[in-house]
Amino acid sequence: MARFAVRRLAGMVVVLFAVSVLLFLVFTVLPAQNPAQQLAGKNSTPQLVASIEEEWGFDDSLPEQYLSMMGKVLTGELVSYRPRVDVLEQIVERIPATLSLSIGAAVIWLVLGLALGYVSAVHAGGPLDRLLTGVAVAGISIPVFLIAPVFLYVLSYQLGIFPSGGYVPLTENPWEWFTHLVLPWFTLAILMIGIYGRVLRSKMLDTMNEDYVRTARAKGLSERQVMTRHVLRNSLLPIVALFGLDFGGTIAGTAIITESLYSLDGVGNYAALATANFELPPVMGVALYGAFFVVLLNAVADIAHAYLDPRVRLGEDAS
Amino acid sequence: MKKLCGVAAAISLALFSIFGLASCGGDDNDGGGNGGSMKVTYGTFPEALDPALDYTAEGWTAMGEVYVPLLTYNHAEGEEGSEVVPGLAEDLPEISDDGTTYTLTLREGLKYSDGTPVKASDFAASIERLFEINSPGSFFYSKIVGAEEFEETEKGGIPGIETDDQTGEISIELTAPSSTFTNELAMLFAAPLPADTPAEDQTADPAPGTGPYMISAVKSGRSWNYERNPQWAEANSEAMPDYPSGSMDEVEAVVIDNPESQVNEIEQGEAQWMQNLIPSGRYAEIKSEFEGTQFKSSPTNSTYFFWLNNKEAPFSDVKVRQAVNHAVNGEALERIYAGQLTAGQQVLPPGMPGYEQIELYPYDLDKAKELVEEADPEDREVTVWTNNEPQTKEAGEYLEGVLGEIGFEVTLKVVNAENYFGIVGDESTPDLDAGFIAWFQDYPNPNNFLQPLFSSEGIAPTGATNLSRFSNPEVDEKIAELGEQPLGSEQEEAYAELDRQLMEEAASAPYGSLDISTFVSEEIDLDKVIFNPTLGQFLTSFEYE
Amino acid sequence: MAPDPPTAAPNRVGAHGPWARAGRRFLRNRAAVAAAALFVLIVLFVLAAPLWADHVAGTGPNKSHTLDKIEVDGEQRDVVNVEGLPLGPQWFDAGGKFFLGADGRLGRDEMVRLMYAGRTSLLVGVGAALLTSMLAVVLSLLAGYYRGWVDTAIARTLDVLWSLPVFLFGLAIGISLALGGLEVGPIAISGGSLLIPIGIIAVFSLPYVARPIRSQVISLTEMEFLEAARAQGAGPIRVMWSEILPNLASTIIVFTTLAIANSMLFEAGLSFLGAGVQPPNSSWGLMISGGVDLLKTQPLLAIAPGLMITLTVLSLNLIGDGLRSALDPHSRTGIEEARTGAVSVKPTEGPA
Repeated sequence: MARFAVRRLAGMVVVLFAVSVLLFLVFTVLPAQNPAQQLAGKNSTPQLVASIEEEWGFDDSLPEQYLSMMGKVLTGELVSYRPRVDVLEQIVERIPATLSLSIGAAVIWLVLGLALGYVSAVHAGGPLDRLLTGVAVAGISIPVFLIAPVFLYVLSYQLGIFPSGGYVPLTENPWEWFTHLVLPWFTLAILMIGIYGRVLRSKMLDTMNEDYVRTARAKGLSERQVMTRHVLRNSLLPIVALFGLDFGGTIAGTAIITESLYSLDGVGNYAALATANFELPPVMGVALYGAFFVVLLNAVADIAHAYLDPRVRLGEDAS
Repeated sequence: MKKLCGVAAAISLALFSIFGLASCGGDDNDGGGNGGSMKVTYGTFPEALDPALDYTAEGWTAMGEVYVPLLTYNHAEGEEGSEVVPGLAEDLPEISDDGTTYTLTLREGLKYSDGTPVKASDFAASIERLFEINSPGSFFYSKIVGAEEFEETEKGGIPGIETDDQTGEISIELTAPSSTFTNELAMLFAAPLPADTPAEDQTADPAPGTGPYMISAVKSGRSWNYERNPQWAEANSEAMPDYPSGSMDEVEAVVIDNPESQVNEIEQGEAQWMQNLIPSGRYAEIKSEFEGTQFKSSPTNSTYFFWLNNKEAPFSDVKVRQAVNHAVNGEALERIYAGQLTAGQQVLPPGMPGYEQIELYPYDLDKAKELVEEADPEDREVTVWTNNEPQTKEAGEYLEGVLGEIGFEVTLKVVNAENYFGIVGDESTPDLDAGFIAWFQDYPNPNNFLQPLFSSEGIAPTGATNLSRFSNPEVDEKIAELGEQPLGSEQEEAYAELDRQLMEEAASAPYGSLDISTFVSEEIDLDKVIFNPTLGQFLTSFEYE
Repeated sequence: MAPDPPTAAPNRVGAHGPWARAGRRFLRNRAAVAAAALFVLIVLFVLAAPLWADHVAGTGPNKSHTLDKIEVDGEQRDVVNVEGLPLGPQWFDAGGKFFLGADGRLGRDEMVRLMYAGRTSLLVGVGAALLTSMLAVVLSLLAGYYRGWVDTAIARTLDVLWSLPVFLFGLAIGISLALGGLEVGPIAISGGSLLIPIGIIAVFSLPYVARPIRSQVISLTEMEFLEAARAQGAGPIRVMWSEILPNLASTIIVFTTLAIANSMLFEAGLSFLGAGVQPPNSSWGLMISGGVDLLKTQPLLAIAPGLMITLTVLSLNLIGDGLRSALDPHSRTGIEEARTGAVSVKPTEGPA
């Protein structure tokens, strides 16, 4: 177990390193613009631009700039260009919004997705299954930028039930926090419900044909007991791994479009805006923070998977 | 507080009218009215909450009454608001006969919000700080004797500024006379700060200021608060009797980047004012519903135009440029800007001294096509540049369509707004044929438009402002000459002539100037809100009805 | 004479061959057939763009009509009114002009734009999917055949790509390339070229398609017939081409179909944020970003392109599903296996 965890950790560091280097290269080698020029403003003189380059280190060699940036990341001194604010602080400020979005959506998609998958597996082949599968496929196919405008138009603008955007911190006003998040939660969840439903259904159908399930039936267990105790439990394994990646992803701010359409001041929105402005520091900050989370949660999920999977667990103990 | 105003006002009027005590709604200069608190929303956080570093409209509006420079602008709208009046200085500067020496005297008894007295030498230190901190505004003060050397060495102070803390006298020597230096002294960049303010961005904990309000509780990138400056009531308001004190006691400024949300908050009374523009999709609706009660529109000194690269084919041919001017229809653009643009076809905007309405190229698509045919340029492939801000993108698309119709093959490039000027101002960017530009005044002096936009000095390998690359030595000379003379009616006429000449040469294709809207919530007295062409809406002009 | 090396069944053709059987299975799947019909309709819809533009709407996708008026029931209506409000859907009131209304303050015909934009969206989606499939197959064949360090290198690269914040990278690269284009040696691609979004999407979709294909190749290479072929002296290319590839065929077909759907969503997301298709080209994603501004007053501008994307992706997903059931009724490969042992479709909220 320990060796496994250490290996995963090492892999994590490698990935973070690769991500940081690639990101750095994309932002320094590609763009057609000198960030010092951007900072110098409307009335720049070459002297001013040169001073700014010196101040910010843009005139150093690329490896030097990279190392200096990584140093700042580790000491928490990363600063963005416009406005000149501390990146880490900004990310921390925005985590609650992203976290609220992710956790709420995750709860919804797990519950509804697994329910959908379970029911359609149990009634496999029947009309209910076909209906639910259709719903699931529809869910996977509808992009967020159709769901969000439709929700906003119908439920917010026309019917006025929900506010049209913005984030209210939980500590400020729990009810407002909730009403502002309902639409974004469902927007994000709809896609995932489809995926998780189908995954569970597929895995359950596969499992139902396994030997040990038939044995269980032969032993006289009720259908429901068979379903829940054996089939469902074993089908949840891949879900765990998948969830690790997806949940980690949403925390990492991959829900950029949802955050942008609902004006949720989250981490994803922050990174997207900075990217559009060619500002490396915030993007680097978010990307590393994000990659860290994704890999961490992935590792946790894998460890949980390994723990839950009796084959792996017993295998390890036996060795 | 605001809800009590009505009742309290009635009672206080009744009970205290004999004693003449202030009632709700605040009065001009008694150290504060009884105004309550309000919330304002900004679309973006200012570049910095540091007067030396910020060069944005939102920053100037945010800090305009917190850091008062030696000179400032009249608290009025329109032309009246473009008048320079004394700020921390007793009077407008005395200018020597040769125009190179400016002398001002600091008012007595001024204090910063932390209690430290304001000294004349603080001004010198603050200008030096501009260079030390690599301010984007340092450029305006390079004309002070010794400033350029100081910029390079950052040692030895700026010899051109002499101050005397005892008498409060400040004397500034310039390398050449300048018609704009008075305006430049009224810029936020030149606001005196305590001399020991570090040469670093102070946004996290803003430096103490001298105005009626002070900034506190800054959450970088998100929000900040205004409180009454204790030193204003105690000392400064007496020293500056003509400067308003403001009605509000507290103001919360919050950054909300979705303009829709801002509009909603104002409609629901959760916020009292939004600093940035109403989203174009809602403009018509809001204007018709709230005009006069919660909404008003004010012109700005800005020119929106399409720059045309005078140095390269096909726009190096004056006929082609004239064709473009004939083909661009201001009326269509007014609709594209959802009614927020007032069409015009000259360089200087209506509020600017020296403005004269010039319309040499009425809309005539056929004439435009004719001119292009006559000119018959070989190179018919052009690239139009624009940025991704809502109406700007459409203006770019509009130009693309128009050029297509008069005989060109057009490629449109949409650049992110933040990077736009850097990219089109960089000579190494290929295919810089035509594109969008909006120029807002730094101060109400025509030189502020003509010099950067159309003199050869505005052409540079990077950071160019003369995007049209228009270069005429005669015009250059005239602009430089006028730049050294104080602005009077003779100069205004000369500027108008220059404008005409630029239009005759069709150096670019101007299409109008922007109207800025002020949208406030129900409880605010719309009529009292002052929109100043340089500083935006004055915080001190907001009061509850 | 050496016996014929055992070849896998799918190589044979004929009315009773496995392809024909698969075809019949597919046709029996009503949902899949309906989806295929829908997809065909959509393709026809976008192909009909010039017809509609010339004969019904009388205008092009980029033609601005800000100051024009149209006549409806004898009444003159502004295409864009003085305050910049565009015309709403006219349906057939004006003879088909401005069927879905005007697209915004530039007063362009939304229906015409919708059709033309669809061409771009489909082109980019299909192009990227084909490109990524080709790359995935080549890489997988190399990895599976040569194994060893080749395989490790390829697998690790896919891993890194998989862990990248794909959207941010796609965004950053898309924006900078849109500006300056790409110049590598003799190849110069302009910033507005469709090759750029196609390339970006293809590269970042690679792990999603390559992983399952690679794992299938690996399991295939462990089968005996391969040893037999090699023993016969067949070179690597021959082996890859005639032995491995045919067995991959059904996986490739299924995954390519699903990749088209995925690519279209990715493109829409990138274009929505300004990093994908650039003007004067338009795509459904780009149209949505324009329509969101006017959501309160003219909701159709954002919803119509969104609906088109949904219908296209939906039909592709159902077709892909149908193909999977038809070609390999008992297989475990499909949308549900993109990770060994686990299952997933890379979530595309845009891949985000």
